[in-house]
Amino acid sequence: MIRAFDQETGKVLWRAKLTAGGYATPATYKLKGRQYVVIACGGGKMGTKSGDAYVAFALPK
Amino acid sequence: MIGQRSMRHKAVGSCACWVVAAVLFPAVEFGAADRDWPVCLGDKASSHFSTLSQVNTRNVHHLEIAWTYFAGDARPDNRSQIQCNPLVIEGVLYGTTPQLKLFALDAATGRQLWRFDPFAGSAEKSALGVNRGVVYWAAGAEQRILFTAGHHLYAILARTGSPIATFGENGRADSSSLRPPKTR
Repeated sequence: MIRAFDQETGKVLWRAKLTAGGYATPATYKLKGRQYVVIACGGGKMGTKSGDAYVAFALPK
Repeated sequence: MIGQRSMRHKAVGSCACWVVAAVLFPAVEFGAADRDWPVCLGDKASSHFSTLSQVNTRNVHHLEIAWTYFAGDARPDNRSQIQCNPLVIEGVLYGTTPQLKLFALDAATGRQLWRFDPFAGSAEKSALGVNRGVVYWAAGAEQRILFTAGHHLYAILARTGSPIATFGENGRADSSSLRPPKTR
C-alpha cells in the first residue's frame, strides 16, 4: 500500500495497493504537462511477497 | 502472517511519507514546464522534494495508475527486491530490475526503450540485486548512466544502453582491486 498524508494534519488523503511492497523511494516528475509519481515494487524484503514492477500514478487525463 | 503484514505496512508507510514531502507541499508551480528527477533522491542534497504541485492536497485522491512496467526477472525464490529510486531525464526513466538489469523507459507510457544486463554471459551474480539508485552524468553531447553490479562500476550510453568502450575495460571498471588490505 502506498499512502499520501496531509502533512499538516496527518490525515490519509489517498491510498493505493501496490503489486508488491514498495521498499523504495518514490520519484516525481512532470512530462508533457502531466505530473507522475513512480515507485519500485520489489517486495521480497522482510519475507513479504516479492515483485518486479515499477508503478507510475497520475491524475486522470 | 499478521506480523508480516503489519511490518510491510510500516515499511511502506515510511515510503509514503516521502511522497507527501514530494507531492503535497503547497508551493506555487510556475508555468507548465516539464520537470526531471535527475538525481537519486531528487537532488544533490537528497531532499526527496519537488516543488511540482499539479498533484496536491485537493486532488491527490484522484491519483490512478498511469502505467506499470513489469521487469519480468523476479527471482524464483520469492525474495526479489528493488530499492532503486529511478531517475527521469528528458522524458526517459532509468532504473534497475530485481536482477540488476539497467533499463530505460518512456516516462510517459512505461514502454521499454532498451535494457542492459551486466551479468550477460557471466557466472557472476549479485546476491541480493539491491541498489538505491543509479547516476546520470553528461558532458557535451554525451550522456551516461553509471551504476554498480557485483564488483563492477558500469558506464552506459543513456541514449542506447550500450557500454562505453572507452570507460574502464569495455565499459566497466573493476572495484575489487580497490579493496583495502586485509587487517591482521
